Amino acid sequence: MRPPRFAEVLLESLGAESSFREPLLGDLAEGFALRVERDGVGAARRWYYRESVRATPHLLGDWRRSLRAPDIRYLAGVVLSSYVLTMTLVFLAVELAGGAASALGFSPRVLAAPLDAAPLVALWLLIGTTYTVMGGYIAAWLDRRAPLVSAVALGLTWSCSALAIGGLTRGNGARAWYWVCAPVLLAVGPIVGGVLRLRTVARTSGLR
Amino acid sequence: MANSVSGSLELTVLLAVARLGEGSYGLTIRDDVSERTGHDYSVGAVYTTLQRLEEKRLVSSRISDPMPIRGGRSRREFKVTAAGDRALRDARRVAASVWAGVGANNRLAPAR
Repeated sequence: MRPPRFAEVLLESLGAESSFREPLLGDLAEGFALRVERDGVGAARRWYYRESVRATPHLLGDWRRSLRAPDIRYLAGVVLSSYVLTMTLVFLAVELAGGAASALGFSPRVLAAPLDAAPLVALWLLIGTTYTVMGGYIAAWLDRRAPLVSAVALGLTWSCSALAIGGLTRGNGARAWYWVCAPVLLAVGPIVGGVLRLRTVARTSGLR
Repeated sequence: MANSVSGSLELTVLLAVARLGEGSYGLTIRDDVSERTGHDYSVGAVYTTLQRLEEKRLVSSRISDPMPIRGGRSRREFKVTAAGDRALRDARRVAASVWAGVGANNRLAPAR
Protein backbone atom coordinates (compact mmCIF):
# COMPACT_ATOMS: atom_id res chain seq x y z
CA MET A 1 0.00 0.00 0.00
CA ARG A 2 1.59 3.27 -1.16
CA PRO A 3 1.00 6.65 0.50
CA PRO A 4 -1.14 9.24 -1.35
CA ARG A 5 0.91 10.00 -4.46
CA PHE A 6 -0.39 13.55 -4.84
CA ALA A 7 0.81 14.50 -1.34
CA GLU A 8 4.18 12.87 -2.08
CA VAL A 9 4.54 14.83 -5.32
CA LEU A 10 3.62 18.08 -3.54
CA LEU A 11 6.35 17.43 -0.95
CA GLU A 12 8.85 16.54 -3.70
CA SER A 13 8.05 19.82 -5.46
CA LEU A 14 9.28 22.10 -2.67
CA GLY A 15 12.90 22.08 -3.78
CA ALA A 16 14.52 20.45 -0.72
CA GLU A 17 17.85 18.68 -1.26
CA SER A 18 17.42 14.96 -1.92
CA SER A 19 19.65 14.12 1.08
CA PHE A 20 17.03 15.82 3.30
CA ARG A 21 13.88 15.04 1.33
CA GLU A 22 14.28 11.36 0.49
CA PRO A 23 14.84 10.00 4.04
CA LEU A 24 12.00 12.22 5.28
CA LEU A 25 9.59 10.97 2.60
CA GLY A 26 10.80 7.42 3.27
CA ASP A 27 9.96 7.82 6.95
CA LEU A 28 6.52 9.14 6.08
CA ALA A 29 5.97 6.19 3.72
CA GLU A 30 7.10 3.73 6.42
CA GLY A 31 4.90 5.43 9.03
CA PHE A 32 2.00 5.23 6.59
CA ALA A 33 2.52 1.49 5.99
CA LEU A 34 2.68 0.82 9.75
CA ARG A 35 -0.53 2.80 10.34
CA VAL A 36 -2.37 1.02 7.52
CA GLU A 37 -1.76 -2.28 9.37
CA ARG A 38 -2.56 -0.86 12.79
CA ASP A 39 -5.33 1.71 12.22
CA GLY A 40 -6.65 1.13 8.68
CA VAL A 41 -6.25 2.96 5.40
CA GLY A 42 -8.43 5.98 6.24
CA ALA A 43 -6.59 6.81 9.47
CA ALA A 44 -3.24 6.23 7.77
CA ARG A 45 -4.14 8.63 4.96
CA ARG A 46 -5.29 11.28 7.43
CA TRP A 47 -2.00 10.85 9.35
CA TYR A 48 -0.02 11.15 6.11
CA TYR A 49 -1.76 14.37 5.05
CA ARG A 50 -1.33 15.90 8.52
CA GLU A 51 2.36 14.99 8.59
CA SER A 52 2.79 16.33 5.05
CA VAL A 53 1.46 19.72 6.13
CA ARG A 54 3.77 19.69 9.17
CA ALA A 55 6.77 18.69 7.03
CA THR A 56 6.20 21.48 4.48
CA PRO A 57 7.91 24.35 6.41
CA HIS A 58 10.93 22.12 7.07
CA LEU A 59 11.26 21.14 3.39
CA LEU A 60 10.95 24.80 2.39
CA GLY A 61 13.50 25.69 5.05
CA ASP A 62 15.93 23.19 3.55
CA TRP A 63 15.31 24.64 0.07
CA ARG A 64 16.04 28.14 1.40
CA ARG A 65 19.21 27.00 3.21
CA SER A 66 20.56 25.23 0.14
CA LEU A 67 19.80 28.14 -2.21
CA ARG A 68 22.91 29.30 -4.11
CA ALA A 69 23.42 31.94 -6.83
CA PRO A 70 22.91 29.45 -9.74
CA ASP A 71 19.63 28.28 -8.17
CA ILE A 72 18.41 31.88 -7.92
CA ARG A 73 19.37 32.46 -11.57
CA TYR A 74 17.53 29.25 -12.54
CA LEU A 75 14.42 30.32 -10.61
CA ALA A 76 14.51 33.79 -12.19
CA GLY A 77 14.89 32.16 -15.61
CA VAL A 78 11.87 29.93 -15.03
CA VAL A 79 9.75 32.86 -13.81
CA LEU A 80 10.75 35.01 -16.78
CA SER A 81 10.23 32.19 -19.31
CA SER A 82 6.82 31.29 -17.91
CA TYR A 83 5.85 34.97 -17.91
CA VAL A 84 6.84 35.41 -21.57
CA LEU A 85 5.19 32.12 -22.59
CA THR A 86 1.96 32.94 -20.76
CA MET A 87 1.77 36.46 -22.16
CA THR A 88 2.38 35.13 -25.67
CA LEU A 89 -0.44 32.61 -25.27
CA VAL A 90 -2.75 35.27 -23.78
CA PHE A 91 -1.92 37.66 -26.62
CA LEU A 92 -2.70 34.97 -29.21
CA ALA A 93 -5.93 34.02 -27.41
CA VAL A 94 -7.08 37.65 -27.21
CA GLU A 95 -6.26 38.17 -30.89
CA LEU A 96 -8.20 35.04 -31.82
CA ALA A 97 -11.15 36.05 -29.62
CA GLY A 98 -11.07 39.56 -31.10
CA GLY A 99 -11.08 38.12 -34.60
CA ALA A 100 -13.96 35.80 -33.75
CA ALA A 101 -15.92 38.66 -32.12
CA SER A 102 -15.43 40.85 -35.19
CA ALA A 103 -16.57 38.02 -37.43
CA LEU A 104 -19.74 37.73 -35.33
CA GLY A 105 -20.36 41.47 -35.56
CA PHE A 106 -19.20 42.54 -32.04
CA SER A 107 -16.74 45.35 -31.61
CA PRO A 108 -13.66 44.28 -29.62
CA ARG A 109 -13.40 47.90 -28.43
CA VAL A 110 -15.99 47.08 -25.78
CA LEU A 111 -13.20 45.29 -23.85
CA ALA A 112 -11.33 48.56 -23.47
CA ALA A 113 -14.26 50.21 -21.63
CA PRO A 114 -13.77 51.31 -17.96
CA LEU A 115 -14.00 48.59 -15.33
CA ASP A 116 -17.50 49.49 -14.23
CA ALA A 117 -20.00 47.29 -15.98
CA ALA A 118 -20.56 44.01 -14.14
CA PRO A 119 -20.35 41.73 -17.22
CA LEU A 120 -17.04 43.32 -18.19
CA VAL A 121 -15.69 42.89 -14.68
CA ALA A 122 -16.72 39.24 -14.73
CA LEU A 123 -15.11 38.79 -18.15
CA TRP A 124 -11.84 40.38 -17.04
CA LEU A 125 -11.83 38.29 -13.87
CA LEU A 126 -12.35 35.16 -15.95
CA ILE A 127 -9.54 36.09 -18.32
CA GLY A 128 -7.29 37.08 -15.41
CA THR A 129 -7.93 33.85 -13.52
CA THR A 130 -7.31 31.77 -16.63
CA TYR A 131 -3.99 33.39 -17.46
CA THR A 132 -2.69 33.34 -13.90
CA VAL A 133 -3.57 29.65 -13.50
CA MET A 134 -2.00 28.95 -16.88
CA GLY A 135 1.13 30.87 -15.82
CA GLY A 136 1.51 28.77 -12.68
CA TYR A 137 0.99 25.59 -14.66
CA ILE A 138 3.69 26.63 -17.15
CA ALA A 139 6.13 27.63 -14.37
CA ALA A 140 5.66 24.26 -12.64
CA TRP A 141 6.03 22.50 -15.97
CA LEU A 142 9.29 24.31 -16.77
CA ASP A 143 10.88 23.75 -13.34
CA ARG A 144 11.95 20.16 -12.66
CA ARG A 145 13.60 20.90 -9.29
CA ALA A 146 11.08 22.95 -7.35
CA PRO A 147 7.93 23.29 -9.49
CA LEU A 148 5.64 24.62 -6.78
CA VAL A 149 8.24 27.14 -5.61
CA SER A 150 8.48 28.49 -9.16
CA ALA A 151 4.69 28.80 -9.42
CA VAL A 152 4.63 30.68 -6.10
CA ALA A 153 7.54 32.89 -7.22
CA LEU A 154 5.69 33.77 -10.44
CA GLY A 155 2.56 34.64 -8.44
CA LEU A 156 4.52 36.85 -6.05
CA THR A 157 6.28 38.58 -8.96
CA TRP A 158 2.98 39.31 -10.69
CA SER A 159 1.33 40.39 -7.49
CA CYS A 160 4.16 42.75 -6.50
CA SER A 161 4.26 44.17 -10.04
CA ALA A 162 0.52 44.89 -9.88
CA LEU A 163 0.91 46.61 -6.53
CA ALA A 164 3.86 48.63 -7.82
CA ILE A 165 1.98 49.68 -10.96
CA GLY A 166 -1.06 50.56 -8.85
CA GLY A 167 1.13 52.65 -6.57
CA LEU A 168 2.98 54.40 -9.36
CA THR A 169 -0.15 55.24 -11.35
CA ARG A 170 -2.13 56.12 -8.19
CA GLY A 171 -4.83 53.63 -9.10
CA ASN A 172 -5.00 54.62 -12.78
CA GLY A 173 -8.67 55.48 -12.41
CA ALA A 174 -9.74 51.94 -11.52
CA ARG A 175 -11.95 51.19 -8.54
CA ALA A 176 -10.28 50.47 -5.19
CA TRP A 177 -11.52 46.85 -5.14
CA TYR A 178 -9.61 46.18 -8.34
CA TRP A 179 -6.29 47.04 -6.68
CA VAL A 180 -7.17 44.71 -3.84
CA CYS A 181 -8.47 41.79 -5.94
CA ALA A 182 -5.85 41.94 -8.68
CA PRO A 183 -2.76 41.25 -6.46
CA VAL A 184 -4.62 38.46 -4.64
CA LEU A 185 -5.73 36.86 -7.90
CA LEU A 186 -2.24 37.23 -9.37
CA ALA A 187 -0.70 35.52 -6.33
CA VAL A 188 -3.23 32.71 -5.85
CA GLY A 189 -3.85 31.84 -9.53
CA PRO A 190 -0.30 30.59 -10.25
CA ILE A 191 -0.33 28.47 -7.08
CA VAL A 192 -3.55 26.81 -8.27
CA GLY A 193 -1.92 26.32 -11.68
CA GLY A 194 1.17 24.77 -10.07
CA VAL A 195 -0.97 22.40 -8.02
CA LEU A 196 -2.91 21.39 -11.15
CA ARG A 197 0.39 20.62 -12.88
CA LEU A 198 1.48 18.47 -9.93
CA ARG A 199 -1.82 16.58 -10.02
CA THR A 200 -1.04 15.68 -13.62
CA VAL A 201 2.46 14.57 -12.57
CA ALA A 202 1.03 12.49 -9.70
CA ARG A 203 -1.34 10.75 -12.09
CA THR A 204 1.41 9.79 -14.49
CA SER A 205 4.67 9.26 -12.61
CA GLY A 206 6.81 11.20 -10.14
CA LEU A 207 9.42 13.92 -10.10
CA ARG A 208 12.33 11.84 -8.87
CA MET B 1 32.53 24.39 23.77
CA ALA B 2 32.43 25.15 20.04
CA ASN B 3 30.15 22.26 19.18
CA SER B 4 27.66 22.40 22.01
CA VAL B 5 23.97 21.65 21.79
CA SER B 6 21.75 24.72 21.76
CA GLY B 7 18.09 24.37 22.67
CA SER B 8 16.19 21.63 24.38
CA LEU B 9 15.08 19.88 21.17
CA GLU B 10 18.69 19.52 19.99
CA LEU B 11 19.64 18.00 23.33
CA THR B 12 16.58 15.73 23.38
CA VAL B 13 17.21 14.49 19.84
CA LEU B 14 20.91 13.94 20.52
CA LEU B 15 20.01 11.97 23.65
CA ALA B 16 17.53 9.88 21.62
CA VAL B 17 20.21 9.04 19.04
CA ALA B 18 22.58 8.08 21.89
CA ARG B 19 19.91 5.94 23.54
CA LEU B 20 18.75 4.18 20.36
CA GLY B 21 22.31 3.55 19.22
CA GLU B 22 23.61 2.88 15.74
CA GLY B 23 20.90 2.40 13.16
CA SER B 24 18.49 4.95 14.64
CA TYR B 25 16.61 6.91 12.01
CA GLY B 26 14.06 9.71 11.75
CA LEU B 27 10.93 7.74 12.63
CA THR B 28 12.39 5.89 15.64
CA ILE B 29 14.02 9.08 16.90
CA ARG B 30 10.75 11.00 16.51
CA ASP B 31 8.81 8.27 18.38
CA ASP B 32 11.37 8.20 21.19
CA VAL B 33 11.44 11.99 21.56
CA SER B 34 7.64 12.29 21.40
CA GLU B 35 7.13 9.50 23.95
CA ARG B 36 9.58 10.95 26.45
CA THR B 37 8.59 14.61 26.13
CA GLY B 38 4.85 14.05 25.65
CA HIS B 39 4.97 16.41 22.67
CA ASP B 40 4.01 15.19 19.19
CA TYR B 41 6.99 16.41 17.12
CA SER B 42 6.77 16.19 13.33
CA VAL B 43 9.25 14.10 11.36
CA GLY B 44 10.28 17.31 9.59
CA ALA B 45 11.19 19.02 12.88
CA VAL B 46 13.31 16.02 13.88
CA TYR B 47 15.13 16.01 10.52
CA THR B 48 15.81 19.76 10.70
CA THR B 49 17.30 19.23 14.18
CA LEU B 50 19.32 16.21 13.02
CA GLN B 51 20.67 18.25 10.13
CA ARG B 52 21.81 20.99 12.54
CA LEU B 53 23.45 18.38 14.77
CA GLU B 54 25.21 16.89 11.76
CA GLU B 55 26.46 20.33 10.67
CA LYS B 56 27.90 20.70 14.18
CA ARG B 57 29.44 17.21 13.74
CA LEU B 58 27.66 15.93 16.83
CA VAL B 59 26.05 13.10 14.83
CA SER B 60 27.03 11.34 11.63
CA SER B 61 24.79 9.52 9.19
CA ARG B 62 24.87 6.83 6.55
CA ILE B 63 22.35 5.91 3.88
CA SER B 64 20.93 2.36 4.00
CA ASP B 65 19.85 0.25 1.06
CA PRO B 66 16.45 1.13 -0.44
CA MET B 67 13.52 -0.61 1.27
CA PRO B 68 10.17 -1.68 -0.21
CA ILE B 69 8.23 -0.58 2.92
CA ARG B 70 9.57 2.95 2.29
CA GLY B 71 8.45 3.00 -1.32
CA GLY B 72 11.98 2.12 -2.46
CA ARG B 73 13.59 4.89 -0.44
CA SER B 74 16.58 4.51 1.85
CA ARG B 75 16.89 5.15 5.54
CA ARG B 76 19.31 7.76 6.84
CA GLU B 77 20.77 6.16 9.94
CA PHE B 78 22.40 8.29 12.62
CA LYS B 79 24.94 7.75 15.34
CA VAL B 80 26.53 10.02 17.92
CA THR B 81 30.12 11.07 17.17
CA ALA B 82 32.92 11.52 19.71
CA ALA B 83 32.17 15.28 19.69
CA GLY B 84 28.52 14.42 20.36
CA ASP B 85 29.52 12.30 23.36
CA ARG B 86 31.54 15.21 24.71
CA ALA B 87 28.65 17.64 24.13
CA LEU B 88 26.29 15.30 26.04
CA ARG B 89 28.70 15.00 28.96
CA ASP B 90 29.06 18.81 29.02
CA ALA B 91 25.29 19.26 28.93
CA ARG B 92 24.86 16.80 31.80
CA ARG B 93 27.55 18.53 33.85
CA VAL B 94 26.04 21.99 33.25
CA ALA B 95 22.51 20.72 34.06
CA ALA B 96 23.74 19.12 37.30
CA SER B 97 25.59 22.30 38.18
CA VAL B 98 22.65 24.66 37.63
CA TRP B 99 20.21 22.32 39.46
CA ALA B 100 22.54 21.90 42.42
CA GLY B 101 20.94 23.04 45.65
CA VAL B 102 17.45 23.34 44.17
CA GLY B 103 14.78 21.08 45.59
CA ALA B 104 16.21 20.20 48.95
CA ASN B 105 13.90 22.50 50.91
CA ASN B 106 11.33 23.84 48.47
CA ARG B 107 8.45 22.90 46.18
CA LEU B 108 10.79 21.91 43.30
CA ALA B 109 11.84 18.82 45.20
CA PRO B 110 11.55 15.66 43.04
CA ALA B 111 8.21 13.88 43.48
CA ARG B 112 8.48 10.64 45.52
